Amino acid sequence: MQFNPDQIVYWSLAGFKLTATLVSTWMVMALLVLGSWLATRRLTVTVRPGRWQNFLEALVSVIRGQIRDVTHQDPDKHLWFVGTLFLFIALSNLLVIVPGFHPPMASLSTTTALALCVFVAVPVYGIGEVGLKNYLRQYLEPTPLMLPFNVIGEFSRTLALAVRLYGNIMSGAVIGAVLITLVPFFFPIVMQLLGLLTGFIQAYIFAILALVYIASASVVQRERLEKQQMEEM
Amino acid sequence: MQVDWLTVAAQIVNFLILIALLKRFLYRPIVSTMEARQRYIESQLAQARELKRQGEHLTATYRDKLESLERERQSLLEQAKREVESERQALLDKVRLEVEQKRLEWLQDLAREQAVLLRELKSLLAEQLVDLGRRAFADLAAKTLEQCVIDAFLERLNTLPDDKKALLRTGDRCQVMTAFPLETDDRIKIERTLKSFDPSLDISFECRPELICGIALEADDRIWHWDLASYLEELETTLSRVLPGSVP
Repeated sequence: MQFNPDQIVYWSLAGFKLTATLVSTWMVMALLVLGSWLATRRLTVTVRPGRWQNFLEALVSVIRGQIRDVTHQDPDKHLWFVGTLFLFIALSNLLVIVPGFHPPMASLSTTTALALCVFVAVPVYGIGEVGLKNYLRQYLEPTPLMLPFNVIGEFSRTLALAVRLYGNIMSGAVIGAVLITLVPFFFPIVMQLLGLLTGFIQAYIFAILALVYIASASVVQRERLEKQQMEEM
Repeated sequence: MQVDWLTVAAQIVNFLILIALLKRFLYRPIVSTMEARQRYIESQLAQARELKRQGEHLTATYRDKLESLERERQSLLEQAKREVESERQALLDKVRLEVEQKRLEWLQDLAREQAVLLRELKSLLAEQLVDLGRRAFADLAAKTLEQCVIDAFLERLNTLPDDKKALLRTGDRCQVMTAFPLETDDRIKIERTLKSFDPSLDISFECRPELICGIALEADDRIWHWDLASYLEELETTLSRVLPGSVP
């Protein structure tokens, strides 16, 4: 029994392996992009939008509302990154119920990739907010002695994100598989439902954590910068 | 649990591509549409507010106009009432005047009719009185009423005071008028009496039925007479006073 979709190889060429992780990822990507394209082909500004437009607008509104609640900032600059994280993880985990679908989040490679994206996004947003010099200065705060701990903190945070997501999804898949072998009927379905719930919650938690890391870094930086500017004045 | 770094790189690329595609096909159109709708709704709201303001303004204008019209209507109604009242008063006055005129005319007619009636009554009474007198005198003294009248006239002439008699003398002619034709004897008697005052008197006789059973002497624009007319006038006065509905 294979729990890691990385180990399912459909095709390989010169070291490159077309694994189930990649295929599932592309399927999720295709679903998201195609659905968005179909729904946003004929957008109307009237007060009575179509069914799919209404659904997407509600979805985007909820994401923006969450971002605004967490960051107290303009949601649009975080929307595309955090929103894509959420939609990608949520749809991947929801598709677990499709027979033959291997959730990409059950692969530590995928969750590592997403965690690395967050790991990069935090300084990118921070630098974009306050500039490179001010951003790098935070690693020397409150004293330069803290530099190693700050760096370790950044890495451990990323690792925690990756393992958290991977562990939840993979454990769900493992428990489902084990239960199917032990109790063939009914109970695995309940577990599948529970898996849907946990998958959705994990998507939410991952996106919110990423948002909090990005926002806190940039907010802390900006507040510090403003404080310095006030002192200089 | 192992990490395939090639897959990690591929997933990072996949994720970045997904971000770009969703940004292109989902977030940008949806957000811009929502913002456009927001602007549309705000413009509609602004338009609605403007329309509401205009509506309120129009309402206020029409309310003012209605109040003004109502005031005008009340004023016209009051004026019409006043005019109708004055017209009614004028008509009433006119009718009252006409009624008064009619009443006066009626009273005049009544008075005329009464006068005619009185005249007729007077005439009838005179005839009856003369007839009565005639018969009474004939039965009692074997004399005609005319003779009695002539006797009474001559008696009055004879008993005239001297100054009156002198007045009779100043004229050169006199005329004796009677209501009845005189017998020759009676004429001679009268001539004799008058000549006794003035023998040169030129005496003429004339018959005038309007003298009611009487006799009159006209000389020098003066008249002496005796007839029933004065008695009848007294009677008429009495009758007028006692007749019902007599004219005041």
